[in-house]
Amino acid sequence: MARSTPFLLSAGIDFGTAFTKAMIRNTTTEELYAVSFSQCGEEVFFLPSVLYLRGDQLIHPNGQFGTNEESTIPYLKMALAEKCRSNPVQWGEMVCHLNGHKFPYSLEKYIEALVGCYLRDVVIQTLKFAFSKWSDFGTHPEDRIYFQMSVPAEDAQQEAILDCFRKCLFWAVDRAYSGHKDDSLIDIQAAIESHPVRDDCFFLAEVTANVLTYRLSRAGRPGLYLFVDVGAGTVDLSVFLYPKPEYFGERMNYAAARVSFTGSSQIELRAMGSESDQKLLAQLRACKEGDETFAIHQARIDTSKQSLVEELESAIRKTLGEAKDFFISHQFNSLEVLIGGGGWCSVPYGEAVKNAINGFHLNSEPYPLPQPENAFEIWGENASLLAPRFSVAHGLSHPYWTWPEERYPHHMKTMKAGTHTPIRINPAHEDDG
Amino acid sequence: MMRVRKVANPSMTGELTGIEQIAGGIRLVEVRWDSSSPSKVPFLQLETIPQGISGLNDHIQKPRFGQLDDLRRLLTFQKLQGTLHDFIYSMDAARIDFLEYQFKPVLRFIDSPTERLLIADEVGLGKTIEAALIWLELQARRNARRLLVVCPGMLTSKWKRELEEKFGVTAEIRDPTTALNAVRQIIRAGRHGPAAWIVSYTSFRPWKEDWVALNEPEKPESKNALSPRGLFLDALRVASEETPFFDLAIFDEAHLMRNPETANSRLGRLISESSRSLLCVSATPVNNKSEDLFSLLRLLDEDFFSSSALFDQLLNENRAAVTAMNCLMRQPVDVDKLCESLQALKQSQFVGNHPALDRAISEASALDERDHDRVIRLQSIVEDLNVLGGYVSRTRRRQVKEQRAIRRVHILPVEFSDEESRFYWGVTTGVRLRVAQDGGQFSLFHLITPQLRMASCIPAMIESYRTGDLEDLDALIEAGTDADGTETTSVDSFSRVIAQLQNDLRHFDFEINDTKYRALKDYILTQLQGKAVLFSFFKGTLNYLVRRLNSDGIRCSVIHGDVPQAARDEILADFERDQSIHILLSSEVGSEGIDLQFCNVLVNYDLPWNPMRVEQRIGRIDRVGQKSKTITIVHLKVANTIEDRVYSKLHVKLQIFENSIGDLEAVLGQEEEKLRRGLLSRELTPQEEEQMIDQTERAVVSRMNQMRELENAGGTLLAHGDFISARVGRQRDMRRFITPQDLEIYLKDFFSRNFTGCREIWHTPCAGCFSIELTMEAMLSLQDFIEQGKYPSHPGILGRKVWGTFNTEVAKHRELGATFPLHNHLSPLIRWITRRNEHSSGGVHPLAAFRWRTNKLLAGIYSYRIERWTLVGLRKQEHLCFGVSNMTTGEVWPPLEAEKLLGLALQESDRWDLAEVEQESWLAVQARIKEQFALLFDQACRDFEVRNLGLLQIQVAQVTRHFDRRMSIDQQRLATMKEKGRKQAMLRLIESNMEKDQERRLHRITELQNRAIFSPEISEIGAGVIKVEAT
Repeated sequence: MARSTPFLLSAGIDFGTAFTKAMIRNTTTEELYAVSFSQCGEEVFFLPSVLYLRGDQLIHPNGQFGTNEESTIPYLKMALAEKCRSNPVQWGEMVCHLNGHKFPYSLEKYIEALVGCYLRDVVIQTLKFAFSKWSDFGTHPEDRIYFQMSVPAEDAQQEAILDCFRKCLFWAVDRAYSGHKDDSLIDIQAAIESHPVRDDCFFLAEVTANVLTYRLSRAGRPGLYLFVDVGAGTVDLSVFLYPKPEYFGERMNYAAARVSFTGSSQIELRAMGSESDQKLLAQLRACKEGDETFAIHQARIDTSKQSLVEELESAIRKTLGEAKDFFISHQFNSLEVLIGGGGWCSVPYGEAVKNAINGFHLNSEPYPLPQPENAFEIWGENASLLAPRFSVAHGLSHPYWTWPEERYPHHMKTMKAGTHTPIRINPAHEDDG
Repeated sequence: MMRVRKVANPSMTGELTGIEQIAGGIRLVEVRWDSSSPSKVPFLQLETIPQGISGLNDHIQKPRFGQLDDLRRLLTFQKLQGTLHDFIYSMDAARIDFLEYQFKPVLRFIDSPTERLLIADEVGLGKTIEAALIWLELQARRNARRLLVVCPGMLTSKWKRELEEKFGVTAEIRDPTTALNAVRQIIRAGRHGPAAWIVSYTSFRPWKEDWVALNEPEKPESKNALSPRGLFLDALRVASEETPFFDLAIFDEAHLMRNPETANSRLGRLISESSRSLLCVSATPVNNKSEDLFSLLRLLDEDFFSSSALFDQLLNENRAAVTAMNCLMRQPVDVDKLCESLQALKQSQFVGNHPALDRAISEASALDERDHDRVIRLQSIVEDLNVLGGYVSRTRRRQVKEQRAIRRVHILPVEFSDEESRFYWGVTTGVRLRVAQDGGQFSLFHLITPQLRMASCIPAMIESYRTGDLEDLDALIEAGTDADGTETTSVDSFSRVIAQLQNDLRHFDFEINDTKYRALKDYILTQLQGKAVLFSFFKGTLNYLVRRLNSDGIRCSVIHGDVPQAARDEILADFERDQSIHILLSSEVGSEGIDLQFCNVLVNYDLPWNPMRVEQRIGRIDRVGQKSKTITIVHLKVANTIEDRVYSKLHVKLQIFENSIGDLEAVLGQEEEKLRRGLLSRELTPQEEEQMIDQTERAVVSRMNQMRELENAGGTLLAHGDFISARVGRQRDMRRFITPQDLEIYLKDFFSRNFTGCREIWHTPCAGCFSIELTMEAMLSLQDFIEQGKYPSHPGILGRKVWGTFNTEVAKHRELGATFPLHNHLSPLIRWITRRNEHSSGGVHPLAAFRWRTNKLLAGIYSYRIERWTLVGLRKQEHLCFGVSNMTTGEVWPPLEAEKLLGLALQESDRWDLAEVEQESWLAVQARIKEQFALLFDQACRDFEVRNLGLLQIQVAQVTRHFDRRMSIDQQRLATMKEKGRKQAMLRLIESNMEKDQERRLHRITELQNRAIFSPEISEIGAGVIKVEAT
């Protein structure tokens, strides 16, 4: 019997600096899956955000490579952001250094083309995955799939940068549907530049996507939050007010934000000090992860963690200090702490958060972002370790019509009180303009 | 405004607000959801709710299928209403291991017409647990609030601990004054307050004066002199005039009330009248020569078991009912014998006119034994005809299938030194002289204590006499005799004998040269494996051993009657946990009520003569839950002593160490007394001693055999309970109990629908654990519910935090269980959810569809239907009826199979979203199942009516007998008073009492007849489709 209700799918793509993760949701049936990508014949959930070139020829992630003839192009997302800030040289030099070749074209356009190609593969694989899950997808005339991608919160505030992300994804989705795979990079550059806007692609700040996993869960409730997102390189701090919908509608108001370079890989990196031995680095990492074989390094790791506690605590204090100006005391005192990201551990992060909020006489137990209940069953006992790395993709997979509006602080790193979007303490006087 | 629902999840209903927009190429509309805040949704995912849809039949006409969770939610909601008859609410609801036989009393109780039951299991099978399970069942079924446990004083702490630790019931040990105040307080507060009280026989049994005053209604002034216990019992009686004050009273060790002339028995009668339901717990053997059985049954239902002659008649007539049930349990069913037995029952004075009998006879004659459902139904009817079965539940150890530990005996031979031997015989001679001279003035126990002390430990005995610390005696007597009313005088004039012997042997150091201790020490150091408990009667012996063992570097723990209960618990926990402590020293009294299943060795440092006492010691470690395959019983056997001969001649022959000797307390107690008197009342040669012990052994064996034969024959009195066991097994197989998964889904669903924002952390730190931080709104609602319902505090609910586990395995774990308390369906948390759900009717969509990959059915589409049948008469019975049919072939499964299939499907199925089926065949199949249900419902109504009429007969007869007895007593009293020429006013008082009783009788009977009016009702619960795919 033919299906009489259309499937509206939303694919959340977390285009990360190191890996890309995606989750796909059937918004009609509320099924949710982590997308598995095919890479060199293997199914992976974490697709390296890397392209391989053989001469001018792109090799797709699911193609065959490994003959040492390929050039590796890493940090694609970072490159796109750098490019848009008119400072592509550093990335370009790094890539040239790594691969030993020069770019025949304009570097900015070249980066767009590369990102476009990479995203095209991601979209194709996501589509394949969708068909594997819903074999009759497409049989109903109204069946649709939406591609929803995250952008770093800092970039999301700058229209020019956001536009670059948009162009690349529009082109990638278009090419994925059309089946073209063999455009030259020059053609791609031109096509991306002139590509029309698509109405099935949506963008959301990373932090908002993260928080959506909380907000749209059973646990989500309006309130004032400090969100601590512990990544590998950085810890992103954001204070935001999620007001009751009856006051503001669904809107996320950022009162303060900060990036602290105290991510989990900093533990072993700082323990290394000035040394550059890769073997030592691996041992330190193992020690950090509890491998008793390398317990000898524990003292170094502990010292490093302590330095991170102090630095992160200071960053949290500053962030909270900036945010505090916007709220009356009882409102600020209700602040709760949400934690996310794959790098969270009680020392140094839990300790830093605790020390910092105690300084403000706040008393909130950090609450981890909830995980979707059934989407990660395949990982068994590892689910609790791996799932936090999907929080952005999970948030992005919520259909765009459930997303809140966002208002950002204008300058995240250098934010000072009063320089960003004002947030009134009395919702009744809020000006929607 | 237009009412809409989600097409793929039709339980999500709401109305359009009129706000809409186009985005992403689709039309979005805002919906104000019934169960959550408004949100925008693609219009394509919605549909309008057809007008006039309310009941299941409307939904069936215009089907829109919900999800698997809808069916799960629906069934859990139905189950949690606590009224399903074929359901065991106490299963998987306590921190106990599942043992099928422990639920037999629960089912007996549910079916009992009078809710009065004797649990007469053999020792070590967990009667306390069985009684507590019945309390859980009553709480679930009719929100029972008040429990009273009456037990021997030494068991009060054990009851408190077990109720709390295993069943989450916080009980208080009450004395008469606090109990009296509490009763008054509850009455003042409108009788709503809960109570779980534990009281001892000794503190509450009425004094003679109290009893007289309580039974003289014509002399109200006599109540002024009542003692606190009398006041309590009087208050209880007044409080129970209209409705019994307690929902359940449990009498533990109920044989203590067997003598109707004792104060214990009077206490039993008074409390029995103040409790709606009654449980007597005792290891009393069941046979037709057992006066104890009759006494206890009389206590349960004084009116029914009014005379011993009538009881004998009942026993005889009951055999036919038992035979009929045995025929039905056989495969193939012995139909001829079944019919014959049922016909024999026609002559029975008790059930000859029972409407179920005619029904059973007509069903039996046309029985097709392949019709499993019909056989089960007939079993259920015949069970009603087993009158005695409704009053007694008995499980014997040999019926229990679980693996019992093998008992191994290990003898540690001890040879006394000459000096020790001289001391031993010197004391024995002194004792014999004393017993001979006594002439029955003092109790035998009192006189022979020196002998027992010496047989236990000579150095400890000498020390006790030296310091005058002889207070062990009372504890010894309590452990050695029935505690009911025994009075003793604590006098000991044996010190002179001891001093003389010590003087004679003054150069000998009994402590340094203690051969018995040396044997023990060698055993501990060289042979002991695992954990051991060492028993001695005497605190002095235990203290001596602690001192010696510690000085020899052997760590040990000790518990005896002087160690407070809380400290005992701590010592015991340390002993279990600390691997460096291998031995626990304990007295009888110290270990009373304590389970030591984690010990695999028992050392008898001294040996009770009464084999029953030995059995009780062994029972501390050889009980349900013993993990070790073998247990070792170590006996220190001192050569050439009286105790040695008792051991060799009596204990070994009776094989008391290897085999459980069952419940032969009465037999062995008498023989032990005789033997002691015989052996210790005059000088005897060793040969004479042996002859005397041989005689005792022969007497005991003969009486044991007699008792066993009677008990075996008793099987024909009670039936073996196979029918009930089969029912327990069936309920478990069919998952007719609340599972942890049910509760988890129920709770998650509730919060997501009612209180978003509650933070739930599941399965952390391990599977089965949860912690929830409530929103302020949820916390206030829960607190309000708890305060209104006066629920006792739960250890897993505090302010905004709710935490614990639904999983009894987690709750049983030592560390996790301490951190994560058990929330069963009786927890205030779940009761609160159910109460709120009742207001919103569960908010569940009645149609569901799911996909089941299985080879248990042929691939294809199947349709199911569920109805709830409520049959109300004197009792209310509710059943869920399940039907399943193949939509292609039209085959319809019988209800039990359908229920089983659906149960399995619920566990193994996946979602089938947006299911659509061919309308015509869907309607046809639903109609077919409905037809089948109509026939079955008719059958169920007829069965119920028969049982209802039978029940009415029993209860009317009971009321009539009750008032007849009261009036006959008053009649006699009136005649006596007339003879004595008492005042007219007094006579009028009695006459007025009789008139009132007559009115009450009429009123009660009319009330029963009104309540017995049969009223059936069908609620259509749910329906749906299952897509079965081959694996």
